[in-house]
Amino acid sequence: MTILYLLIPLSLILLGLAVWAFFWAVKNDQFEDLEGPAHRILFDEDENDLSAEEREKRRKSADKHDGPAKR
Amino acid sequence: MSHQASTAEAAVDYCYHCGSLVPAGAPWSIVLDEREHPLCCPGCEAVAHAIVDGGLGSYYRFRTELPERPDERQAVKAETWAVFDDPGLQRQFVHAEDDGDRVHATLAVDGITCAACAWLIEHRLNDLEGVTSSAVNLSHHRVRVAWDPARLKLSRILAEMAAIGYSAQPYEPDAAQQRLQFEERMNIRRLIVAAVGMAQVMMFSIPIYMAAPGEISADFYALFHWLSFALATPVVFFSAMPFFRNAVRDLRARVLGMDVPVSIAIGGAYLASGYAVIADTGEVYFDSVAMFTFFLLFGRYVEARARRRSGHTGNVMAGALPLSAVRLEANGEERILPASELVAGDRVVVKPGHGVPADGVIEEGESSLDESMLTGEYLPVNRRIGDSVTGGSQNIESPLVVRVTHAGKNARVASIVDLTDRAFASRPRLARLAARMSHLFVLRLLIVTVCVTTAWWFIDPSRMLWVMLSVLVVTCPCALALATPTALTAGHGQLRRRGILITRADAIESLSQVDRVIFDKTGTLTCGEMQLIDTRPLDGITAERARTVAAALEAHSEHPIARAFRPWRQATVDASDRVSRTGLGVEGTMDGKRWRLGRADFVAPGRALTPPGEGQWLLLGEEGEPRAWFALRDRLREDAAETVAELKARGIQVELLSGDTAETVRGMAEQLGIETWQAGASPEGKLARIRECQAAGEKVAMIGDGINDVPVLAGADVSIAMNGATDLARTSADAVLLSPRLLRIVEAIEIARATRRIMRQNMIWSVCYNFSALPLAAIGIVPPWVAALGMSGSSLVVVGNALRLNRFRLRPAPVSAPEARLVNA
Repeated sequence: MTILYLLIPLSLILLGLAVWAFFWAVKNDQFEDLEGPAHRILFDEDENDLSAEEREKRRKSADKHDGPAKR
Repeated sequence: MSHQASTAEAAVDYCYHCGSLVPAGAPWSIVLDEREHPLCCPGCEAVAHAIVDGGLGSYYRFRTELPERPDERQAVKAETWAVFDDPGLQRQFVHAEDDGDRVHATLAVDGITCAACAWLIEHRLNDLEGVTSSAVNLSHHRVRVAWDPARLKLSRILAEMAAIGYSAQPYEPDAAQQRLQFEERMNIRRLIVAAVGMAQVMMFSIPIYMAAPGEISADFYALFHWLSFALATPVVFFSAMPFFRNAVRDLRARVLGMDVPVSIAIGGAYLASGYAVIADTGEVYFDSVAMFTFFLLFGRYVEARARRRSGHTGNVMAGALPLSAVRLEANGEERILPASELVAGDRVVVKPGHGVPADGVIEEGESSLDESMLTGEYLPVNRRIGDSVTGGSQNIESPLVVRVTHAGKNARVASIVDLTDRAFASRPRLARLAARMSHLFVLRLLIVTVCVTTAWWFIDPSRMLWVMLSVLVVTCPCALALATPTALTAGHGQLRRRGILITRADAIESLSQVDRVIFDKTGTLTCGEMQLIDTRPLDGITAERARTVAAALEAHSEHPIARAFRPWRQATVDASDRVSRTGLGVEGTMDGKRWRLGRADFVAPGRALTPPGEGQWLLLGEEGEPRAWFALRDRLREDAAETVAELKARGIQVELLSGDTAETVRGMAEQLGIETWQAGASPEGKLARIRECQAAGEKVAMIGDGINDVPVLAGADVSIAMNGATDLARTSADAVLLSPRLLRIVEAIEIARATRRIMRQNMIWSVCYNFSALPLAAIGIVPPWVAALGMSGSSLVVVGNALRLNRFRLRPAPVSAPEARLVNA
C-alpha cells in the first residue's frame, strides 16, 4: 500500500496538468468554434479548379473589363 | 390562356447560385464543369463568376445549404469599403500581430449558411496576396484575418468578400459582449474544474464504498477523506459559485428559483462533510457534492450551447443603414466616416442616390426620399428644411444636409432589425407557466424537506442528514425548469435553419394549434413579380420602341409593375419630369412630348378604350394618344398548389382572402384547389373574417406581405410574413419566411407541433420523476450519490429529448425543389 504515497501525489500532479491544459485551451479560443472544425475536415485543402497563374490572369482581365470575366 | 400558363411554368428554372426562380428569358448564366447553369439576377451572376473565376467552383459541390440572394444595392456600394482604410478608424479594430509588421482584425460576416461558406471565404482570402491567414468561426459567423498592411488594404479584403456574396464589417466586441464572452469562458472553466474534481473525488470514494470493513487502514481512510475534502473545495467555491449567487439573488427578490434547493444541497453537504472530516465522525458526501455540481453545470452548458446556436446569427443593422456617411466638419470640410461613428448633433451630407445614415432633421436642401424600407410605400416622399428623415431611407433627387438626432443603435431602423432578440426577450406563456410552477414546486419541496428531516430526527438522527440531502438533490426541479426552454430553443433553431424566423415568443405555441390558414393573394401565393406577357402596339410605334419608352418612364420606380419593364431599360432613352400618380400610373417628358403609362382613363382621358383581352392591361399614351397596350401577369409560386394540398392533408382549412377582382381570385383558387375564397376584401373585411373564424373557435394563421396587411396580421392568432415583405410588416408578423418557398409554412407548422409535443413530454416526464422520486428519498432508501445521478439523469433526458428536434425531418424535399440540385451539383 505504500506505493499509494507515490501514486497519489502523481495523480494530483497529472490532475493539475489537465486543468492547466484545459484552461490554456479556453484562453486560446479552442472552445470558441465547436462546429467549424467538424465540417472543415471534409473539404480538401488544395481543392482549386484553376492554377495560380490562371486565377491571376482571370482576375486581371476581370479588373480590366470591370465586370465578371466570361469563359 | 391557361394552357400557355402551364407550359410557361413547366419551363421554370432555379438559380444555380441561390435557388430562386429564374425569370423567363433571363440572360444570366454560369458555365461550370462544361455545363451551363441558369442564374436569376445580375447579383447572383457577379457572385457566381467571382467564385468560379477564383477557381473555387467546388463550393457548389461542398455546400449543404443555399446562400442568400445577393443584394444588388450592396454590390453597388462597394466603394464605401474604402472608409475602413482610415488609420484613425483602424486603430479601433485592427491589432498588430505578435511577430511584428503584420496586423489582424476580426470581421463579422453576413450570409454564412453552411460549412462550405467557411471553406469558400478562407480560400478566397488566402489566395489574396498579402493575407497570411484567415479563419472562419462558424458558430459566431466571424472571420479572423491577418494580413500585411504594406501589401494589402483592408478595403480590398472587404471588397473581395463582398464579391463572393458575403458582406463583412469590422467586429469589435463592446463591453456587454466582452462580458458575455468572459462569462461563457468562465462557465467552461467551471465545468472543467467540476469534471476533473468529480473524477478524482470518485477515485478516493470508490475504495471506501467497495472495501469490506477493516480492509482499509484508518490512516488511508483519513487520507482519502482529507484529499476528497481538498478536491471538493474548488468545486464548491469555484464551480458551484453561480448557484450560490443566483440563490442569493432569488432570495433577495423573494422568489424561489431552483438554485435555492441546489445551493442548500451543495452547501449543506459540503459543510456537513467537512465537519465530519475534521471531527472524524459521521458520513462524508464529497463525491455527491462534486457529481451534483458537475451534472448541473453540464446540463446548463448543453442548454446554453443549444441556445446560442439557434440564437442570432446576422449582424445588427447590417444592410439597414448605409455603411459610410459624409460628415460636415466645423471648418466646412467633408469627411467620410463609418455611419456607426456618427453621434447626435453631427451634420451629414446625403448625396442623391445615397442612403440616409442616421435619423435626423433636414437643415439644408429639399429632396424626395424613398422610405420604402420603413413604410413599404414605394412612392418617394418630399422632405424639406425642418422635416425629419429616417436612417435607411434613400435620397433620390438632390443633396441634403441633415443634423443627426439618433444614430447607430438608437436609429429607428435599428429597432426593426433584430427580430430574434425580441423573440427571446419576451418569455412565452408556456415558459412563464413553467417558471411559476417551479417556484411553487420549490416552496413545497422545501416544506416537505423540513417535514421529512423532522420525522427522521425522531426515527434515526444519524441518518437524518443524508436523507435530507437525498430529498433535496433527487427532487431538484432542474428537469422541470429545463423542460420548456430547451424544447423552445431547439424548435426555434430548427425553424431558423429552415429559413423561418420566429419574432414573437408565443408563435410556436400558436402555430402548433392552427386550424385555418388564410392567404392574402398578392405576393403570397404569387411571386410578386409582374411579368410582361404581351405587347400590342397601336398606331405609329413599334413594340420594341413602346417597351423602351415604358421602361424609361418606370426607370426609377420600385413598384412591382415597374420591375416588369426593367429588362427593356436603355441608358440612352430617358425621361424627365417623371411623376407617379398613385393608383393611376406614371408620366414623364421625352423629346418634348408628354408620355403616360397606366390606366386607360388616365393615359387617354375622354376616350372609352377597352383592353384587347382579359387580365391586367396597361396603356401607353403620347399626349393623350394611345400608343400601345401591355399585358402583365403575376406568376403563381411553383409550390403553391403543393402547399395547399399538404396543409389540407394535415387537416388545416385553407382560405384565400384577396382585394383583387372576383375573376382573378376564382381562377387562382380553382387552380390551387382552395374551396373557400373571397374577392374584393378590404383590410377591415379581412379582419372581420378572421374574427368570425376565431369566434367559431378556430385558430387562424394569416399569411400576408404588404403594409396593408399589418392590422390583419396583428388580428390573427399567428401571422407569417413572406420574404420580400416590407420591413414593418415583418416586425408585426409573428414569423417571417426568409426563403421563397411556401412549403416552409407546412414545415413550420409541423415543427411547431413537434416542439409542443416535446414540451409536453418533458413536462410530464419531469413531474412524474419528481413525484415518484420524492417518497423513495423520504423513506431513506436513496443514498445521496444515487440521488445526484437520478437528478442529472432526469435533466439530461429532458435536454436530450429536446435536442431530438434538431434531427427533425419533415420528409424528403420533392425532386423539383432547388435543394435537390445541392446533391446533383
